[in-house]
Amino acid sequence: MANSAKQLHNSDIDRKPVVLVVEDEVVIRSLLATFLRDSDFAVVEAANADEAVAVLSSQAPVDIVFTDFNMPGEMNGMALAGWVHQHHTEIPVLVTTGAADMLEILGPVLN
Amino acid sequence: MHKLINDKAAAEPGSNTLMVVEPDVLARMCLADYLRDCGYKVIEGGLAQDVFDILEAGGTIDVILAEVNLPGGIDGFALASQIRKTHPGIDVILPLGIAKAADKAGELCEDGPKEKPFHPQEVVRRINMLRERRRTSKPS
Repeated sequence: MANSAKQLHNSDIDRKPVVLVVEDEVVIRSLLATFLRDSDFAVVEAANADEAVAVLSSQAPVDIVFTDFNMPGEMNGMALAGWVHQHHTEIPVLVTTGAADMLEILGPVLN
Repeated sequence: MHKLINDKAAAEPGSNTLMVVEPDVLARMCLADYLRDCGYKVIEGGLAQDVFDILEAGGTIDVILAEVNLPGGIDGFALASQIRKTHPGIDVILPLGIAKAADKAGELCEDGPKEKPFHPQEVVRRINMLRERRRTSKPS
């Protein structure tokens, strides 16, 4: 994971790569954020897509978005990925899900 | 529920874990980053329920820094009252507004594991700057 952090590191910017973690369950978000911080990433935590949009709109530095698929609110993880793709084309988005059946649904879309 | 959190997100021996409960993600991010720079482990939440979820999962919290006005049906006062009953060892600080929250974060940093990285009013300035940028960007 530390290597991944280095790979994401932009040598023009003297800072750790920043992961925006979007996850509504605080226990999972906290564990994931701690793991990423221990792996030499900087982490911004958002509890839903609206918070993620607020962070991105504030121009706080973000290098990658790591989002859950299922979230409360108007936007789920895929809708958030669409928003990021539209407004911040340079930022990659990783959409994850803990639901196995969701992977089957998403498979064709992601491929 | 998830009985996983103790080892990683909670305190290591000799360290302190703070939980920042603040509904505004930009304010929460800046306050939490500041406290991390002071050497604390920081858990972030936007609702009082997030505190209960962390504790139920076995997480250790030494101090809660919570906004008084919280969404979700449990405000800061109710959170503090509940925590006093169930976890009397956890200190709950209830600043009213961002400026007070930054002041309290500064006081925590005075006692923190590391030296204070900058004046807490710089946290307020950063929050206001990010809020202004968000306000003026307003992409659809």
